[in-house]
Parts: sequence; structure tokens; C-alpha cells
Amino acid sequence: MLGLSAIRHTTFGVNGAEPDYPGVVALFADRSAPYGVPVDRRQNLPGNRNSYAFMGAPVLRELAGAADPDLVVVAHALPDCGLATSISGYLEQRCTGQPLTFAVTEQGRATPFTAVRLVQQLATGGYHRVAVLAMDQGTIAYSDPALAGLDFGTDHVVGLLFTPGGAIKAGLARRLPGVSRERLTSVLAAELAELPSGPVTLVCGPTVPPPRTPHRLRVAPKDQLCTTVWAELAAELGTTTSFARTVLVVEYEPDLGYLCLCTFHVPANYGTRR
Amino acid sequence: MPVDLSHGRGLDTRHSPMNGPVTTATRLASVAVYVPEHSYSLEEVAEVLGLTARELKRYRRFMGLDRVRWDPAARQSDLLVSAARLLPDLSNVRHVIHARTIEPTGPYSANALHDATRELGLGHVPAFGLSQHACASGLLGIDLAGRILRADGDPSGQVLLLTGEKTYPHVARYMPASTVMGEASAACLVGLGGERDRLVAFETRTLGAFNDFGAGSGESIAEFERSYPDTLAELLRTVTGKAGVALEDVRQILPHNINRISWVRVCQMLDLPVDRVLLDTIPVTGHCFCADSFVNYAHALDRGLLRHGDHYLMASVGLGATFSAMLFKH
Repeated sequence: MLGLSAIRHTTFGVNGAEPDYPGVVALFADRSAPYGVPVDRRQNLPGNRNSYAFMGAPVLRELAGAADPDLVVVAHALPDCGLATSISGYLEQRCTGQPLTFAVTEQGRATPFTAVRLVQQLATGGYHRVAVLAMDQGTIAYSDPALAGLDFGTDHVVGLLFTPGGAIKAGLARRLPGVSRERLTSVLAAELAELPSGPVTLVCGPTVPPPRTPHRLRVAPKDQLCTTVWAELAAELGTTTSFARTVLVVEYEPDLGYLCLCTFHVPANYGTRR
Repeated sequence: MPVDLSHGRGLDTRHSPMNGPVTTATRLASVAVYVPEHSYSLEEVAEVLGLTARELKRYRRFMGLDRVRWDPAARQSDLLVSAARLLPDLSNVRHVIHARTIEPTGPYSANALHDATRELGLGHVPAFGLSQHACASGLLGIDLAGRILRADGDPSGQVLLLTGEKTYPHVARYMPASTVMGEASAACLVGLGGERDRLVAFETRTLGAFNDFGAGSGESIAEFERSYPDTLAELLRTVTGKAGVALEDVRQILPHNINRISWVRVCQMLDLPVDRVLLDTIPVTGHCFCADSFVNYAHALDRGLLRHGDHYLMASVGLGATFSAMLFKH
């Protein structure tokens, strides 16, 4: 199993190039109509106008340094605004190693867990330097009650790099489907009971009810979607402790009933560079 | 060769007596395709798609395009469910993947993939969308499905791979290639082990220079079209060479239905007869996003074109630009 060797949380404000992404408003107008969601075709596109390709490239460069990854999995739950740009093609142009790049989507808050699980599984098939880019962007042409509370004034990318020499060993990311809100507390309690002895920090997403636990608890903010718990993990791993500890990342996607968990074993005196 | 695609069909290869001992090779266990009944001529769709009379003439005469199948009443989830319901058995499905050409299906809270899985009784199965290889995402989905199952260590598990998308007027804007998009969909059960329809080799290559296919990228698109036959021909040589199979020994190439002339050029590069590529469905269904390879697989079985032991290729190219080819043994 590859270890986590770097994690970065990067934020983006307004894209100074002000790309207009022609056709994006019309696209969402057409696609939202069957669902009765109105889109004003005459509107100026709102948001910061940061496409996933635009944000992913610099984060990947900073994350990987001189040695490009051989596999990149992009995870996003919100739609892209740069639909006329292939993220795979854009990143291929900016990497020397021609990484296999693809995106996983449509799992809401759970999406990056699937991406992490995939790179962990694919690593057994010959990929040795693999990156996950979890991204949230808020240039969206319609309003959706499901997105209320998100801060679209800032876009986010969290990049994770896994390598054979990665000092932080990670357990296989898991998604437990079919977990209703009513069962969430008990299912999570059962998972927490399985944690190893020793210092533990829980990094919980904002939809996870804070568990009764003796462990240290960090709760990710509500203003991000699929990146929030990973940004909180980056902050946690940016703190150095003189003792080894376990960090359990927990997220819950309420619309799908997916409880997601991923464990990281952090050695003593490890200070991940942010 | 006339093509009868008036009804959906499910093709079950699970119980083939030719299946050998269980291995861990990826295979296509079952494939089902849904082809909408409504057939429209190019003239009927010209206004919606913004096609000029000159383009119509060119599409029909040179591109081999003629009609297209759409299901105007269907939502995205309906297309997926219509194909998956034709599969004989979903009880071993452990994961669902919807391989997509274009990502958003509608507003965030309207999640077509999960609507479909719930309707299929698979709401308890993890499901995700797969994208960024555009129309080649379906072939990537087959490869990933096999890798996921092997990593899971569940030899009887299957991945339900769904393909097919709604088309809209704006799609033409994102599809600068000469083609007409159709709404046929496919559902494929990917499993491990067995001899029939075994994945032998997979090659994928992304030419990032062509990552921008939006307005104002006319020269880039022209350059892409110039390099297309060479690149695809080389990829087909590579994938067969990797498996030690001579390209001339490949029984059939199951193409993506972009248009006829691009395949004629590829065949010229490869010195292959054009009839080695199954082009029957291009004038019937149009180009159905990631579903073409599966639609053509079903059609090849209908026509009896694949015999036991035959090698065949699935090949697809996605804007952006990803070229993918898969070699199978039937």
C-alpha cells in the first residue's frame, strides 16, 4: 500500500483572466429544464470562474515537485465551468510523465473517498506515484437549495500524493452505503470502537454528528462540499506531535447514505509541509 | 447490410459452455443495449442542431450519417435504466459506474445516476460517474471495473458499467467533429474469469495539445483531425502488438460511431479492408457518446460476426483528446 507523502490545500479567488466559458449557461439551462430548475440564459456567469483544469495544474505541480505522478484522479462533486477543456488533456500538457488522468464524480461529499480508494487499488496494478485532486468550484449558473451554505466566494483544491515512500500509511478508504441518518450514530460508534489504541484524532465532516468519544475531534467547516474534510486533514497533518497518532477522516453524504472513512497513521515528529 | 435496432436487446454471455477455469482476467459478462424507437432523419434534426443544408449534404454523402435515434421523453436516468433492465441478473453487482462524455446531467440535486441505481434496486451499491476521457471513458470504465474487482478480491462480483447520455442542442457546440449524437445507451456487466469476451489488452493515450475544443480553437481542431487517423492507427497496432496478435487476424473492429470517413482513413493507414470495421450502425443510431462500442458489440453478435476464439477490438476517441483501444477474445 502506498503512503501519503504530501497533502496541500490551496484556495482560489476570482480568476483574473475572467474567462467567459461560452455556452456554459446554455448548457445548464438545457439540462436543468427537465427538472424544473430555472436558469436565466441572459445572466452573466457568476462565481470566480476557476475551472478544474485551471486550478488543478498548479496544485499538481506544487504537490508533485520535479517528479510527476503516473496517475492522477480528479474528484469533484460540483459541476465544472470549463467544459470545453479536457482536464486530462490539460494536465497531460503540464506533466512530463504522461499520467493516466480521469475524474470521478456524482458522489457528493463522498467523491474524494472513492478517488482515494481507486488510487490505492490501482497502485497494485503498477502505478507508484499517484495523486488525488479533490476540488470544489462555485461558478454555477443556477441556484440549488442543496448547495445552500456553501461559500462560492472561494474555490478549493486539496491535493494528495501517494508514493511507496510516503511516511503516512493510509488504510484503504471505505464507503459504507445504505447508512441512513437514523443509523449513522450507531454505525459510526461501531467503527470508532475498532480504532487502535493510542492517540487518535477524528477529522469529521460537517454532516457527521459529533460522536461521543474520548478522542481529539476536529470538525470541518460547512462552507465547502467535497474538499472540506480533506482541507481539515491537511491542517491536522500540518501540526507536528512528538508521538505517533492515528487520524481518522470521517464524512457522511446524507443524500446517498454513504458513510466514508479513511485512516492515516502518522509517525512521531512528522510535520507535513503545507 | 440492413440493421434492425428497433428494439433493445440483452445479450447474456454468462453461461457460455466455452468458459474455462476461473481466472482473474477482466471479461464482459453481459451486455445490453437500449436503442430508442424514435428515428429522425438528418433533415428533421437539422434545425435543432444548427446544421446547414451544405453540412447535411456532406454528412450524408461523405460521413455516412443518415438518421439518429432519440428518446425525447426520456430523462438521463431513463436511458440508463432502459438498458440495465435488459440484463438478466444484477444480483452480483458490487459497484456501478456511469462512464460519461460530458459531465453534468442536470442540477446538482438531481442525480441521474443515483436515480437510476435506486430504480434498479441497486441503491445499496456504491455508484460513481467516470469522466475526462470523453467518449473513450467507456473503455476506461471496463479496465477500471476489472481492477476494482481484483482489488476487492471478490471473484464472483460484477461491476455494472453504464453508458449513454441525453443529447441537447448545446452538445453540438462541444462536439466540433462531423457527427450527430444519438441517445442509445448500454449496460455492461464486467466480471472476472472465464474465457469468453476476455479483455486481452488495453491502450489509452491522451494528446494534451488538443485539450481545448471550445470556440476559437478552430486551428487546434483542424490539427486534431489531421493527426487523428495516424494516432488511432498507431494505437490499434500497439494494442494488438502488445498482445502478440496480428492486426489482420482481428476479426472485427467495433468502432465509435463518429462518422464513416474517419474510419476509412484509419483503414487506409492500416492497410485493412473497410469491412473489418463494423460501420452498420452509424447511419442508424448516430454517435451515442460512450455507448457505441457496446451497441456495435451487440450488433456484431446479432450478425454472427464473432466466433469462438475470435479477437476483436473496441476503439474510441474522446475530445480533449484521448484515444483508447481494447483487444478482446470472444
